[in-house]
Amino acid sequence: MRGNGNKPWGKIWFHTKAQRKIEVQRIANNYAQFCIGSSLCLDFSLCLCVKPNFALWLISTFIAFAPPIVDLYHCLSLPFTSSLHKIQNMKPLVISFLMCVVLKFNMNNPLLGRWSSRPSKNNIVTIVHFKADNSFEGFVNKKPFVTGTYQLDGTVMSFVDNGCNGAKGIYKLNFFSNGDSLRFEAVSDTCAERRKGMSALIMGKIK
Amino acid sequence: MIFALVMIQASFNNEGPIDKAALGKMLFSDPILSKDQTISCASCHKPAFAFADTSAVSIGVGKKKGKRNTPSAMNLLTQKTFFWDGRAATLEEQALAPIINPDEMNLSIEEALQRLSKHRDYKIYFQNIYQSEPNAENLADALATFERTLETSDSPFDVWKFNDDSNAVSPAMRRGFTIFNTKGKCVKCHFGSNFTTNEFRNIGLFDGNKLNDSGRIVVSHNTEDIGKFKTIGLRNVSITPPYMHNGMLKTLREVIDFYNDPEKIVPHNVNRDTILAKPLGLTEEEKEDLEAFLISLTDKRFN
Repeated sequence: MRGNGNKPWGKIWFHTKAQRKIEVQRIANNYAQFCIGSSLCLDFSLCLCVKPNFALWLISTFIAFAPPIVDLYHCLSLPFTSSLHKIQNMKPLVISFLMCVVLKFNMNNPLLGRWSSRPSKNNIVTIVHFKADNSFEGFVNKKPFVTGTYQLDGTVMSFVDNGCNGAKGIYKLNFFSNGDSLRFEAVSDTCAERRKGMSALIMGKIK
Repeated sequence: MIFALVMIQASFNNEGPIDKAALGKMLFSDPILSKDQTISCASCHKPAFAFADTSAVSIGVGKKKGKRNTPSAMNLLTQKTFFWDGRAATLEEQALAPIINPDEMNLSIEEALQRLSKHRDYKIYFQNIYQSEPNAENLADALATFERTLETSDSPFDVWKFNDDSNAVSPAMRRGFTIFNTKGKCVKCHFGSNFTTNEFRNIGLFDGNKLNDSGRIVVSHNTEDIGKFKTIGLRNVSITPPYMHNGMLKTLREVIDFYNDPEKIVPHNVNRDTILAKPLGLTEEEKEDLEAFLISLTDKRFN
């Protein structure tokens, strides 16, 4: 097919601007559906087969997005009558990408949320809040006592906090009871007080 | 039968303490535990001022002046030692010491127990709660149990952190918290849920001359402890002036200025901690922010 005096774009030809707009919308919708579907499939398979980590997440995300890249190229290279149409058609692409990123990140971080210990013999309850921005806050009887940042590599957590003169702690996370309970096993921590406290902690996820 | 019913009714009307903490609260405010029955624990550990005093040193029986500033009796649950020099290892041990101290309540424990045993109400209260006469153990236990209830965890800073509510504190308070953890180096000694590591530190308030309270060394007999005092918790610090073991610093701003350059305030100090070897170099704005952060540690019950 040839357009009425329109130049050809790649292998896609359109008679009218309306047809072009419809085609772009179809590509964008298909793209969004493909991204979400494939990403979910990959997440599921990864969780079953391997321990999630950043490298695997990157690879799986690339695989999820690679096939529609050709469609994406066409979306960007086609002419539009206004930039507003372009933005509107890009919305499904952006939303699906953000959803995949959030979904991936949340599914790869089993620490996210609040964890609490049982009361000790002195009635002391420790709560730790792990946040999505890699920061955490610790509380003793609801009083803030420590703040820091953490990194997760599989089930190994490394972190620094505002105590212990900036010394890094590396701990293996032992989840049990369907991932709702957690123990910390010291791998490397020069801060003796912190090591002693964390090794004794058993925490349950607060729902 | 009627007499029995009246007695049962009377017992229900008796507004005595229902548990150890309530008994301890009653004793805490009762001057019966001082020689001339004019001073109670609450005379120096004033509830309205976070159970601290408002003067550099407190006045005891016979208008005697104490030797050190009265620290707050709040937020003691996680503390490991008590008094400025850490001479008491438990809260129970600490609770009886001021009663005996001649500069404070100046009453022997034996006489204190005799008074309580002869007191119509206390005799009943101790029997109800401890199933025994008043003795040194249950007296200390009641006072300590009450003191353990004096926990605060509802300051603007707590709301900010626990509820993730950044609107609970001002930008100055947030900046002050950053300074507290970085340039100010405060966190090195004031770390923890009550902002104290419970360690003993010499911050440069001993010079062997005018400032001749040598602190922890009297208890530990370790020469390295000369001039060291217990690091005090900072909760509610804004309402507990004056500050330091001798109450020599009157305001929070004076405290911040002192830490900023301790050599300037006490030039001939002995054995000052190396953390304070160099001036902090805080700007005026940083000092204000740090003060704002400290104010944010005040529990809302004191507003």
